[in-house]
Amino acid sequence: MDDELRRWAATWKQMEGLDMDIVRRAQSAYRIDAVRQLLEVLGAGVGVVGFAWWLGWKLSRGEVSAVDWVLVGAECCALVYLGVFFRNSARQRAKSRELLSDTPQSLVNDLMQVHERELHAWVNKWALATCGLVGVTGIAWTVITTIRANAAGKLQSPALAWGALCFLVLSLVALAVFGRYRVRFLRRELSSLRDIQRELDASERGGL
Amino acid sequence: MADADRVFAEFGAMLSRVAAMYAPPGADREDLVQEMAVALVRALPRHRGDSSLRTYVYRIAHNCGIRRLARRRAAGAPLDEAVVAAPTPGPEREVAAREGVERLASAVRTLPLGARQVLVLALEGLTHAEIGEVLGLAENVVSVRLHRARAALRALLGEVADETGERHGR
Repeated sequence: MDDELRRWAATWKQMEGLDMDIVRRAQSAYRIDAVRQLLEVLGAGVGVVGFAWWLGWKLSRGEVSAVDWVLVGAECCALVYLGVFFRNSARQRAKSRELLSDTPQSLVNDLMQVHERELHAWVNKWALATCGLVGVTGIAWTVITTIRANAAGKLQSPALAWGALCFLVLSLVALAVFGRYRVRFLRRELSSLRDIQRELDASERGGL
Repeated sequence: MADADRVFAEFGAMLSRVAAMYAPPGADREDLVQEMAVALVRALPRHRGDSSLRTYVYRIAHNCGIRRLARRRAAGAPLDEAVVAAPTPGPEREVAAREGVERLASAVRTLPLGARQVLVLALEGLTHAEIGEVLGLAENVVSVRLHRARAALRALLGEVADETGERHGR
């Protein structure tokens, strides 16, 4: 280390450590993350148990209508979706922790690959068309069945049936809105990662 | 957290300095240090000793910085690399010293990322071989990058090299 670098290093190391208890903050963030994960799983579990209890109660009274079976189908789809979501998010967390001990170039390259894969999954035309078709057909069929059951006076609790249907439609709309924002975010993040990659590579090509 | 406590005691100040390379002073930098600390706690059990703990910790800290940089840019946050802290009140010499430190940190933050990383690791006292280990670069690449980073920093700080090789502020 020459004089110039030593002088800069001395100034650099004068930088005061932040006035914060790093250990305490790290522990607290770690705990919050663990509680969040636990709540996610608990919430999903309570939903499943509640639904199973409701279905069991209906079955025991022999009151299960066509609409109820549609709700069972929707619940099963939601369960599969949640299962895939939890598995993917756990994998992503593990992968992103693993990446942190990689070199910066590998980290950026791998993050770009992960983001590109997710972006591809969100904007895949075939998947979007299938989801749209299944969603719209399912909702239309449920609406028609509910109207018919209501007209025939077979609907035990119209408010609950319409409420469940509204909830399903709102959930799908929420998913579409989330997807739109997620795609935008992924595109922006990919663009910034490409900039960072260029900055990291520039030095090796002779620039700074 | 026993291992983590030991690592924080040894590398805590270093985490703040590396964070200074990616974030201006304030809540943002504190958040980054916390993120680095949490990442370290999680990554420590995976350290198998094939690299020194020091280079492992630096690598994780830099990677957290890069992730934060990507997020900030993606969120369209204003480029804060060159933001300088507002002068804080206090004895004159102390204020001058703080300003000097933040002037250097601010100049470092304006350098391109690759140059910034090499320079900060050199300021932290790592050898070229260690810098290469942290960043996954060959030693000769580190030397070239460091040489250019120093020239750029000198220009940013307004320092000139006279014929004897000594540097002076303009």
